[in-house]
Amino acid sequence: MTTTFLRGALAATALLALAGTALAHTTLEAQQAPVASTYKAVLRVGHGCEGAPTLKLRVRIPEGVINVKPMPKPGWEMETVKASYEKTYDYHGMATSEGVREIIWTGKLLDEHYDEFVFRAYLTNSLKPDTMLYIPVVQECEGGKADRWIEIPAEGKSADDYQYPAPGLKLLPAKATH
Amino acid sequence: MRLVLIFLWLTLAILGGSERVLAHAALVEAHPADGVVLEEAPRAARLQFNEPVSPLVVTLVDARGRTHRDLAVTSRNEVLEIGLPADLPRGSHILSYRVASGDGHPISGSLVFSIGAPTGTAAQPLTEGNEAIRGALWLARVTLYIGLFAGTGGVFFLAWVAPGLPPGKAARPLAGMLVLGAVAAVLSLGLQGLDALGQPLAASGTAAPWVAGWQTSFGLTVATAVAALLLAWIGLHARGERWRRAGSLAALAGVGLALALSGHASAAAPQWLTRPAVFLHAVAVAYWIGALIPLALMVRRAPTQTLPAARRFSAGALVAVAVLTLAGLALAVVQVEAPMNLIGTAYGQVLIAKLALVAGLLGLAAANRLWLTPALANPEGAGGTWLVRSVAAEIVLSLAILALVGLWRFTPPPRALAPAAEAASSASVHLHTPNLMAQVTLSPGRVGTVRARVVIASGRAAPVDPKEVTLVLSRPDAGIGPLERQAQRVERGWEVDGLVLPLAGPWQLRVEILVSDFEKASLEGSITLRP
Repeated sequence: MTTTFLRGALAATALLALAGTALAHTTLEAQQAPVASTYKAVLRVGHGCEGAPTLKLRVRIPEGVINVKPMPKPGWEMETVKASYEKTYDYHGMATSEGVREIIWTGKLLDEHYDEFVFRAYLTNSLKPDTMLYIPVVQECEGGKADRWIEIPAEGKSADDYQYPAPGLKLLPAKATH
Repeated sequence: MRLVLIFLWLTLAILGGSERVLAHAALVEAHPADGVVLEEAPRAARLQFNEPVSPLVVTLVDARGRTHRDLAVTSRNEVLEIGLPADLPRGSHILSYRVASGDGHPISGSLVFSIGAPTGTAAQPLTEGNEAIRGALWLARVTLYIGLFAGTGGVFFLAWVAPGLPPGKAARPLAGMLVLGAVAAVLSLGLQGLDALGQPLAASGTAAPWVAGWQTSFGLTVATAVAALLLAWIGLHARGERWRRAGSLAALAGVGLALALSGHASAAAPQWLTRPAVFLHAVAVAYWIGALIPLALMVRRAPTQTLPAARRFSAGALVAVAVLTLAGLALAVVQVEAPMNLIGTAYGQVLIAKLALVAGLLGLAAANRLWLTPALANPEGAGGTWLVRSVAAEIVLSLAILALVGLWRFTPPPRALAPAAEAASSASVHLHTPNLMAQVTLSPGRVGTVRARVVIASGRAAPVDPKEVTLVLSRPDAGIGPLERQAQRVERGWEVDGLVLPLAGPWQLRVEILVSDFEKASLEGSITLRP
């Protein structure tokens, strides 16, 4: 009887611990979106790196994601890195071969505070529906620490198998044209 | 007599001790590693040695027993890259290599890797040196030394130390030694090639071994040595004294240069020290040994007239002995590394025997300088006879020393043995994804504190330069969770020092590689530790 109870307690503790790590992850608010549509990405940053305040958030825009428009943030400096894409994409009839590949927000977010970082982007139809799209994020903190949310799960594994999974969203088939 | 016996015993022991291949350069790492089982056929193999090497023969015996000899091999310093056939079947394959190291000596070996699962294959090819060729190589080497040191040095003595005196009977033996030396130099080129290619003596009629011998670093030594012997010939036979002096001086420098161009002393690091040290050592030896035969012949004929020359030589010999002792000491320190190696390795034993003979030689030289040379001044005394005897003894001792030094051709210096031994005692695993591969080596490969070394290359075996490398080891079956260690960047790879692995058996291993800020790769496998 006692052992069963103990086991239950242990399992509950383990679950809580797991939930705790899940909350600490940097994730996307909307975790699914159809391709050939504009997606509003909200990156939720719930922690610094091992207690150190976040000073910089760097977001890598994956291939196939174009027309990126980051939302300015009071108290944060924002810059973008533009580069050419691997191929040319069609954006509403306009050939697009280069654009934002990286967004960098610089400011300060204490470990005990929470914040969101927003950008809008177009998910081209070159992305495959029913797969995951990962947006690697590097969180740079005080004292040279960094949390790199860049692990992309190998085939047959999920983000839960990793310590620092990249924020991801599930791609859905394109909506019927209106 | 005892010295001669010891020397003979050493000669036999070393020439006969061929049950294991005595290597100079050592294979430090291989992709794929020996014994590894891969999921996919590798496109290329990558062999890394502890010294720069050049390929001689690379063959692959595949799982079907086919032998591939036309592999594309490129070498970049210490690294050999071998393009593998695209259609390798599943099963075990043997990759055999024979390379010439920077010191001109060939080393060979083979490694087995399997695709899918291991299968039985033909026995590993034998890579032992041929006894007859080893003997011939030694003889040729010693004869070349005699030509270079006694021949060229003798000519220098006649031209610079005893210029006024008629060379008398000395010219003939010197000329003979020069010719013999040149013949031995050319012959040793072919023998070196035979040894390099692992071919029998009978193959010396073909061009291949000569070309191969020429292509090793020893080719340059032979060319320089022959040039030096030729210059010495001019120095011996030219009419004008100026020509004789110029020729013999250039020849003496050529002796130093020839020996500094190859050999494992010259190949050792730091090169700025070892090459000049070999040069100085050789020049000083030639000055000293070269004087002995002409000196003995002259003193025997006309002791009193030879006195000024003997005095001049004696003064110069003091400098020569100091130079060769200092240079020899520096080289010994580099090569032997630790005093223990003097007794524990064949190289060290040869060195000890050589030092014993050199001590005897120095004793005789001191006696000559202090008592026997001054005694020449007394026309009634027997100083001349004793000096001739003493110099004759010096000649015998020098010969024995040269014969001993010739044995070093077959003994790897301790500095080269250490990496070879480390490679043998370590545990190693090759991890592979389409884009990246990593070679993880734990040394020693047994339970306790180990050092892990990680070498990362792209899928095409090109070097990559990651930002961070982390090693994660675990034993889920024994309840040992992940031991995570950040690797430190070292020369040509990454290292984790002081890793404590308490259990024998298979460990789960993961190498996390931060390729760029946003890209991380993870390679997994297992590595087995010996108890």
